[in-house]
Amino acid sequence: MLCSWPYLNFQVLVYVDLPLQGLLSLIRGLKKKQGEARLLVLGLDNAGKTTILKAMSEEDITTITPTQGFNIKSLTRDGFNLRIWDIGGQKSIRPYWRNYFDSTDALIYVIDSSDKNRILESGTELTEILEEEKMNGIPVLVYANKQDLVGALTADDIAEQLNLFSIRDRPWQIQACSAKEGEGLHEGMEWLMKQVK
Amino acid sequence: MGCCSSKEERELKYLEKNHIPLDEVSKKHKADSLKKRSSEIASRDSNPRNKKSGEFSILQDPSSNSPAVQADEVKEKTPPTSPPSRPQVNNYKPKKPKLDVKDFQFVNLKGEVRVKPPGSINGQAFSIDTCEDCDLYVVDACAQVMIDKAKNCRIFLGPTEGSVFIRDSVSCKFAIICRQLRTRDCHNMDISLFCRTMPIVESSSQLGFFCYDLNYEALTSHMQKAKLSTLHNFWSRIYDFTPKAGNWRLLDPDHTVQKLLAPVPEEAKAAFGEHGKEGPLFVTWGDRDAPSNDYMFVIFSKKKEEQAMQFIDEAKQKATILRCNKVAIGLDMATKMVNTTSWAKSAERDLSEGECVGVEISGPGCVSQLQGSAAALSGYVTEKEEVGAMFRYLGVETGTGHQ
Repeated sequence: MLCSWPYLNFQVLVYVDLPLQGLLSLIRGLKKKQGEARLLVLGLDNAGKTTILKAMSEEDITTITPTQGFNIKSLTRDGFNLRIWDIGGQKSIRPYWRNYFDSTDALIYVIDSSDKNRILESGTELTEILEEEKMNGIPVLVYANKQDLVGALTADDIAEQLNLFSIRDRPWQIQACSAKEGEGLHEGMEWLMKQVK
Repeated sequence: MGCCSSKEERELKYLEKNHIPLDEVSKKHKADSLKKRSSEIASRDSNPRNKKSGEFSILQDPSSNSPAVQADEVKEKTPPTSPPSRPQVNNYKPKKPKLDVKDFQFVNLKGEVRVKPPGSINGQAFSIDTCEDCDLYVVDACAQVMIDKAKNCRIFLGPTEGSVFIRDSVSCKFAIICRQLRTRDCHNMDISLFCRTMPIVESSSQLGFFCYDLNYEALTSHMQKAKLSTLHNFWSRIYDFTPKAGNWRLLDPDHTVQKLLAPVPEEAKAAFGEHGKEGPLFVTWGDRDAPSNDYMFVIFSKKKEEQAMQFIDEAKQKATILRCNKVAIGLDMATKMVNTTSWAKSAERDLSEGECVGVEISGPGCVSQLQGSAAALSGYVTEKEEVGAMFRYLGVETGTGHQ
């Protein structure tokens, strides 16, 4: 079953007249001080989102099933608490992605580099996410996954095809990786942690 | 577009486009510096101390005025130490042999027979695109397979370590062994399936499924390469993202791979070598309505996998194997099972450690025919389906929630 509302760690009682956007920034700022970050992992179905999540947690990847709803992982990294949401990417459930945008500190967008027929579809979905107001200014890490497969596009190729260099309103990075072989994941997360801290 | 040109080629194109003169001397200088840089990268990558990410490059902003040649020199002298403020592309070059993607695809074929024999794919990715009226066989282990726009084809896919993803295809017949099966915008297809996880269906209709049943000579080694176990076949546990009556159904058990793909081309038979029903893979009934009211569930504790396989060999001759699973159950579930059955208390400890193999059986008189053998092979036997149900899909994730 899908969860339609994000999970809030605490409640804030406010008696001052703050505009909603200001309140959200305040909460975000408070969260950061407490050393917590909420990461959202999106991308087309079959990109390797859940495999990346499991690989980062050093868990078994052989039982992974196509994600029907979502997966959550809590990880600690450099003394920071990360709450990572991995949402199913099938076309029929992409409309639910927006339900998870609130309070996101960073976006991880995963691409199957060997799925040439769907690179543009992947790019379109990413563009739509970045146009959402709730995702304004949020740093994005693009994982160009499955680099171990023959015919995989390089991170350069994907950056070009997706026109990533036109992104000027937020920090971004594209990292080549292979979740299956455990390559490149660490480097991507290092960059991401710097943005989030 | 851009997928095969190197960074160097693109930089040269940039110079040409911006009318930056590049005389013979500069060209040679650039060629030399590129050669030097690539040998630097090669030696750095081969040094085991530099195991971290490969080339770390900053792509030039095309609106800047500095020519790419000068920028290249600057890059070589001062490798970045602190995170640059501009967006970056971080590549790494996986240590894989240079492969030609054309050897790993069937594209734009009509009315043809193509067979990839054992050893030709060797665990790499494969793709099939825009094929019509074809007989396509990949008789080898694969990393993942993508099929786009197949029409009226008969397709065989050997053990795949990752996913088989079928899209925009119609009126095809498939025999597939894989870890994940994904279908989207598919219509009128029959699929003989071995699948490690829940097969998924999306925006598709008239899909029929039955259990994969063809053992071929190299199958065992291909299954090993794909890291698949014969005990994990959940072919009938379908999940539909766009549920509607008529999207999918389970086909009758008299379906077989041989009938499905007939006539099997001679080249494919050669790739199969000796083939037929006998071999490591066995047929399961799946989630169809059970063939009889008689029921038994047999569970073997850890390190009794050989005994479990022996039991399965006998059971498939004398009765119907409904389903099978191999997973660790832990102490809580072991206790629950023991409390529900008449098993000795020692079974709790026995079953709680490591992975157990459990088999659900049906068929007239199956209990009396098989319980003796089960016990002789150290299996725990019960006729209570609720115990089998506890074990049935344990460990088969549905992909939702907190883990």
